[in-house]
Amino acid sequence: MSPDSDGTWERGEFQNGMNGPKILWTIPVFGGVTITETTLTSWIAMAIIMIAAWFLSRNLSVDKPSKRQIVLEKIIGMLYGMVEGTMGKHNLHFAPYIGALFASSIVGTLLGMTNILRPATADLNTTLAWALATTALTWFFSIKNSGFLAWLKSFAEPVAVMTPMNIISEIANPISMSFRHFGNIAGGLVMTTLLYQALAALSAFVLQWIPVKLINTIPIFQLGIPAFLSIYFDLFSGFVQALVISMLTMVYVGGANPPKEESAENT
Amino acid sequence: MPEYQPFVTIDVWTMIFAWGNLIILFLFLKKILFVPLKNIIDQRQKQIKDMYDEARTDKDAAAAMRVEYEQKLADASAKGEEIIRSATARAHKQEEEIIREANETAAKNLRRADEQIEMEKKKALNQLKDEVSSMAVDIASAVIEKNLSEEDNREMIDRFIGQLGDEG
Amino acid sequence: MEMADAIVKAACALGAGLSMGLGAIGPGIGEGNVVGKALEGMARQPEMSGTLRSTMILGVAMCESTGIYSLVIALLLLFVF
Repeated sequence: MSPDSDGTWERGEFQNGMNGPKILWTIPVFGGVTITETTLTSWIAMAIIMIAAWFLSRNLSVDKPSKRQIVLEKIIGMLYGMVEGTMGKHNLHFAPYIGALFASSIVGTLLGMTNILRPATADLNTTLAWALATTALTWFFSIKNSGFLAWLKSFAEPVAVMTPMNIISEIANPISMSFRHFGNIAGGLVMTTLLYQALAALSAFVLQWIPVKLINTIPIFQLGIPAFLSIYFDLFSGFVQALVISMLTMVYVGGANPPKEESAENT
Repeated sequence: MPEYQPFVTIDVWTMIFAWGNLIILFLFLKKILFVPLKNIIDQRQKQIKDMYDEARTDKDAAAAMRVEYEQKLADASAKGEEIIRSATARAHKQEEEIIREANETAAKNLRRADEQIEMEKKKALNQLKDEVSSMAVDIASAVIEKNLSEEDNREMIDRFIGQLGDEG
Repeated sequence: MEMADAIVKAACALGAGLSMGLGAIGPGIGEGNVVGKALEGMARQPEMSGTLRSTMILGVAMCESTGIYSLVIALLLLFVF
């Protein structure tokens, strides 16, 4: 078992996961727009979230809320509470963004449990895009609140010698955020794949004395055991990482946009 | 053979798609979910506040009305007592009046009866006097045989009876 | 396979193993500390245990990220080189 000359493994040797996402189509414009499995999964996740949102927000009523609406209000209330607790009351309009980020992250991760789609968050590009969006928001609000020069000057604080350190830490923020999320999900994916391989080898070893070809390829061990690993790596880890990336986004953006006393304008 | 990306790589198009998806999802959620829900919750809060205000106003009005009614009730009972008292007083007065009138009438009747009795007595006395005088004339004419003129007799007897009556 | 290639592969495998193994030490100790302190806090103030638990999970996820970085490095060494 060795990778091909271009450094990737063929499907079948290792199943999905050990490689990066498969390139599904390449649209020959702008030098080749690549549409990978990640993009497909994130589209599906987006569609699922949109349908769920549309379904949940149908027939909203003021005085007689249905069970669906109560659940929805509970979830949205929790989200608003979290945003208010972390970012403050003046940043409440960020709640839809945080909600979209959280939902994309968790649905994009959970879609990997189907074993057909590759999790959208197991691709560095997705998480790096989110982390860079957070950084961009942070910088935007820093510049907007204190001015460009003051923002540049804030890198040289407390002393000018710290400037490289500050720049590095500023750059490290999105990298650490994206690698944390990506590493958790991709690591889980690799683990699950490795476990599948090991269990396949084990069941082949156990069943090798049966001469019938049909019976000794029955995946006796792969059937239930990976589900437990999947509960940790996909369900728990996916939830926690979605929470972490939303939380960090809230903390960074909220820190860059502190409450202002005199200004009533909040964009 | 399908093409694979390396395990860790930076692909600008995937990132652009991720950004686009996130922004589309953000706008969609905001439009479909958050804004309507916030409107609903705001409306509900306004409704609840209105209801509370209304209830408070109603309660105040009810309290005011109760005070008014209590006042009215107290007034009414006072007035009733007053009426009863005045009625009793009037009844007492009337009763006294009636009794007084009855007494008066009784006294008047008694007096009139007395007067009548007196008159009857007088009348009876006069009649008796007349009868006695004529009887005396008869007796006297029989006694003295000498028949004087009737006028003389009558005069004499009248005088006599007058003396008698004066004496009697 | 050429000799140089084989050496690179072996070095990559060794490096991946070392990276993962050494990189797991720090987060292990750190997470142990986090959970231990959280448990102490919960034992002292049981009414706070809900908040402590959620904060603990977040903190554990943060601590774990150093281990995850080494995992990513290990995967890079294994699959990219």
